[in-house]
Amino acid sequence: MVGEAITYSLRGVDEKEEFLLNSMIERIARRLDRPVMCGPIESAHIIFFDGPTPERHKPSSRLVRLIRNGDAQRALGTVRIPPHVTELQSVFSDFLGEKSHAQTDCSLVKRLAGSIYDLCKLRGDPHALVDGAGRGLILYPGERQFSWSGQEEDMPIADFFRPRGLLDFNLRPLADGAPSEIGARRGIEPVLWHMGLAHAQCGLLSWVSADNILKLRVWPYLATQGPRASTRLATLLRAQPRSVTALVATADVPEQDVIAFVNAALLCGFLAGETRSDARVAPSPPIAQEDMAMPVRAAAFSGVFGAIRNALRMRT
Amino acid sequence: MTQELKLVFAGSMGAGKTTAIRAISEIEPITTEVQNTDFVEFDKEETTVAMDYGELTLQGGEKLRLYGTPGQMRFQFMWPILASGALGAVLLIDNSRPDPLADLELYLEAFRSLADAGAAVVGVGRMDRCPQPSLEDYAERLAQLDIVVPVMPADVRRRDDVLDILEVLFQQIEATNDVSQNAVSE
Repeated sequence: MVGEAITYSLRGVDEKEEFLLNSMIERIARRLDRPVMCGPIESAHIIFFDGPTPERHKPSSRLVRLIRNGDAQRALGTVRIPPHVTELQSVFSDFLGEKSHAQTDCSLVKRLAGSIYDLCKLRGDPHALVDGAGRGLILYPGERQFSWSGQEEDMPIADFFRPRGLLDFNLRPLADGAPSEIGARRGIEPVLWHMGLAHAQCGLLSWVSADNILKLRVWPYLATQGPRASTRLATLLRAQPRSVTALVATADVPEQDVIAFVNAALLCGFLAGETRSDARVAPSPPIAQEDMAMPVRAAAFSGVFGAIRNALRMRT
Repeated sequence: MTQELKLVFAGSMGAGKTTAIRAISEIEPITTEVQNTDFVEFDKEETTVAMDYGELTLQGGEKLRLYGTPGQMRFQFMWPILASGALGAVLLIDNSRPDPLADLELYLEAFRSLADAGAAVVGVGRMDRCPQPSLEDYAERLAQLDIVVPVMPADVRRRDDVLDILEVLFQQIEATNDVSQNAVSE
């Protein structure tokens, strides 16, 4: 099967160099399993350039500097001009190799998160979640609890997932020779929360899209465990159900942090998906007639909270 | 004309309302504490019988008034009086009390309109000494009551904890106001 085309762009080269580079890349492309096309810089996967570093329109774009002095030592991420076939070839094969590795890793991560989410939702049987170093957790989805297993000392859950995110984990039924349980059982939410945060490196959970409207069902009491903007994101969702796209636009928070928060809160059940028609219904519950003056009054005082923060010298 | 701005601190007897007001008031709080005679309800020498009062001067001379509600149940009639026209409420729950989740329900019921309008926050004290019920238990109870309100641990003896609670309260009110204003402008 032919995959998505790799696009490249050339900047700061003259006509002769452009012709040479295009011809060589065309020949290299015949030996790759993906088509290669020259295209605009905005959509390029690989940008070859000389002179000032061009702006990367896609965060994942790879910049390759062209070195004109043939005697100069070639540094990593550079290609000499006139071009050498092997150097150009390695740029494309490295790009393909990393992309394929990343896709494999993320598919594993997404599958693992999906399995654990389903187990919790369906109140499944106990499972062991074991990492490459043999450290493990025992999950009791039916009771929404977990405990440490084997010889591992109790430690913060964040440290369990930190070394390699969600890679190298193995989820298996407890009956399959899993290590025995140690330590007291606790609520499973911190495990799900940190899994959600770690999943952010692979984007949103597979069953959620950036346009799904999300509603806050329960205050995320684990918000202090990151990301930093969690409380702000929770207050915005408390005020009105929103999509990830709308949240990024409103909150002025890096998209990666929004994704991490949303993943974590969805896995824990603090957030739930909502249909668009539900979201159009009144954002806040109805307010009793005698209290109607309150929000209006607060709106009239918009800016007062800034004054209070100043008076209290609060760090926002 | 100077408009009245006020915040209310509510909670059970001994939850730290006076302490929280003291942490942010620019005047020594005016308290109406008397000898506690209700040792069945709470083992404390003195308690607030009417209210606590503190204040903070804002730029331009406006005063933010800080009211602490009396904790004893027989003064419950005063809660709505103090809450009337408040910008928001901080509900302080003492986790060392016999049934903190029942206290939570009681105060949320009393301040429900503020909670529903996104103008209330719950601070849970003494969690270091009494970790149960956990924040998870609070979240679960709130979900049963169908109320989404911020709940966070707080040691009101630390000024930073009081400021953290207020910051969450302000963020919530601002976010809710933004939505209301957008709805009006549409």
